[in-house]
Amino acid sequence: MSLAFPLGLLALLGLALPLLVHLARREEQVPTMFAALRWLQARRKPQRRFRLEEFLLLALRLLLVAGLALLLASPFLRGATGAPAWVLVHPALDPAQVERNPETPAHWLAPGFPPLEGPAPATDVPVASLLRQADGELAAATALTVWLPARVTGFDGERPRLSRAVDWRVLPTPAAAAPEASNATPFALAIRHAPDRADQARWLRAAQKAWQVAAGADAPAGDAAIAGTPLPDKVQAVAWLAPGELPPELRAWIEAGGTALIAHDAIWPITGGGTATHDDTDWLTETRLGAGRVLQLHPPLYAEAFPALLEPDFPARLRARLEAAPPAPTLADVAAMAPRTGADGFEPAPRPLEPWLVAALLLLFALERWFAASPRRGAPA
Amino acid sequence: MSGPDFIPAAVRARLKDLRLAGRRAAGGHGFGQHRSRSRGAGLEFAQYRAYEPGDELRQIDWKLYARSDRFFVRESERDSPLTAWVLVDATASMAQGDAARPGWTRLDAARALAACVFELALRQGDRFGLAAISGDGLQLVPPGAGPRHRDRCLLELQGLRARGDWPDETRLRPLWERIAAGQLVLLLGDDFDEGAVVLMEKLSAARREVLNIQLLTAEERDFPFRGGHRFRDPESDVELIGDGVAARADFLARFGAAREALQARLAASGVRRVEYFLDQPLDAPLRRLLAPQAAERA
Repeated sequence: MSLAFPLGLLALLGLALPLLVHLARREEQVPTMFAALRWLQARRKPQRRFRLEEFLLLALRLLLVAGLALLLASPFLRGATGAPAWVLVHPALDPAQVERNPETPAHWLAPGFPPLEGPAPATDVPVASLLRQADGELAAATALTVWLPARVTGFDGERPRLSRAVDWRVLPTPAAAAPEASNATPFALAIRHAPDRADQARWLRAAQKAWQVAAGADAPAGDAAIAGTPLPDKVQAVAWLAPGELPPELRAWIEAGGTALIAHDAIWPITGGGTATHDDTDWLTETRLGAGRVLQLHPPLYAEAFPALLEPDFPARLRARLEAAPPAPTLADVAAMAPRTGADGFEPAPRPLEPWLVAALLLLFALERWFAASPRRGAPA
Repeated sequence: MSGPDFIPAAVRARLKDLRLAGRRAAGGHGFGQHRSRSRGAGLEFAQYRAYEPGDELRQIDWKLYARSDRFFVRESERDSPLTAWVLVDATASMAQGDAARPGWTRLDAARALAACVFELALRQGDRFGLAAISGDGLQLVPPGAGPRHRDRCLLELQGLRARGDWPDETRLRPLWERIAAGQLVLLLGDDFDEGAVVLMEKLSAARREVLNIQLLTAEERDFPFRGGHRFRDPESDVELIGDGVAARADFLARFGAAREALQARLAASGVRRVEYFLDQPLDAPLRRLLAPQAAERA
């Protein structure tokens, strides 16, 4: 047991209080009729006798004060204790498939570790992170069993490293449909330009063509139209070649997660906010707006001002900038991702003792009152 | 309180061999069991006196006539009934009892003792009266005899309440009018009031035979108090705070000395005094008080 606030133990000085109360000469005065008062001389109880009265009550009161001091010092216990075994089941699995001892607590491998009796949470759980969390929260002695389908997302780049050996069970269930990798996927760019900037839009249309050729002839490549034309359904990015402010619907589209390439003289939609990251070639500034991204060209789109337009790799470079960084590969073959041991154990969360202490103190207080007020004593102190 | 006449059955049984008798008190007129100053026919010789006309001839002591050639009448003592007064102190201090036996106060003991005395007197055909002295003054039942008179006295006792201080002498003046010389007076009280002691001394000096049973509680004898107490005198309402254990030795010494001094003082004025503690059997003080002296017994 440790103390979060050891100075609270200074309240132990309060132990002197019940001692003083019991040392104080309690002038217990039982009214007594006594007619022979003439021959009686007032004699007080001798002072020098150092006698503590009612040891049991005193002990109770000392305990009470000490307990209060301890409460002030906020004691807590280190070292988690818990069930001897834990079972974690991936939400993609059917609990009926899992063989387990009904006594053992079973939980979904999901944030918060809801019990298995509840409904299955969403399946896209960060498996590795949750494993580390469970490893950290559980006591060192708790045996951990994890049930997983054969293929799941949510792993890190390497095998998880935990502080304990994990019973790693893999069930050959139909894995969650893994999103396909998108190296050669078509990339659709919608171009919206001011009526007098059709010549600038040419460059981007050329880039569209280049991407379409790379992806296949029937791949969508997006369109090009003057500003105000509604956006087509499936586009990955919008190029906005018009001076002035961005229209509100475009801003809403960006904030919902879209990517926009805007002209050099478009007025920046946000003032102050956002973090700009400069490309090494210094022709593009990127910032975030809501869930989406805004990339602003520095030079105007014609070859005299922007020689890189003439480079053969311009479409590839543009697409690389327009495409968000692909998500880290998290889909893994579960059997190959069995956790290794050897990680440092987590410091378990301290468990506060206050509730127990408060309950004990209340009990002590009730006991003390009962003793103090019990009729066999002469008078309540 | 046991029964309407205050006397427990066991005590009543032990009263049988007790006899109410005064040493100085003498019987009045009439026939009874006590020596009296009235002379007449009897067994015990009293005196010779000169013949007077009207005396019966058979009373003349003819042998003495033969020796002295004069008529003398032989007189004997006549046994006469006694008049016994029971004076009950009913001041507030009489309400005190022992914690060990709640409900048994000095006044209760005084009632029972008075009832015992009435019972003895009734058995012997003596006359008895009751005087209760409390803060309210004097309550008197004039002397009389017979069971109905006893019941009257018991009824008076029944209504007795302990309150007030000892009244001053002027209020006790009816006592002097009622209690004639030669009568027996038994005072039942705690004798803590100087007035009571003075009254006994004066009565004794005025040729009344005065007996006294001092009623004391067992607490006054043993002082068993422990811890702090607030002692309160019921009559003066003086309070005194003290620790029982610490005050015990001193109190016992002083109180014992006071009791001895009282004994000596009363003995000097011819008052016979016995102590009765509330935890003793009721007949013990009567037995000590009424026991025939060795000379009488012989």
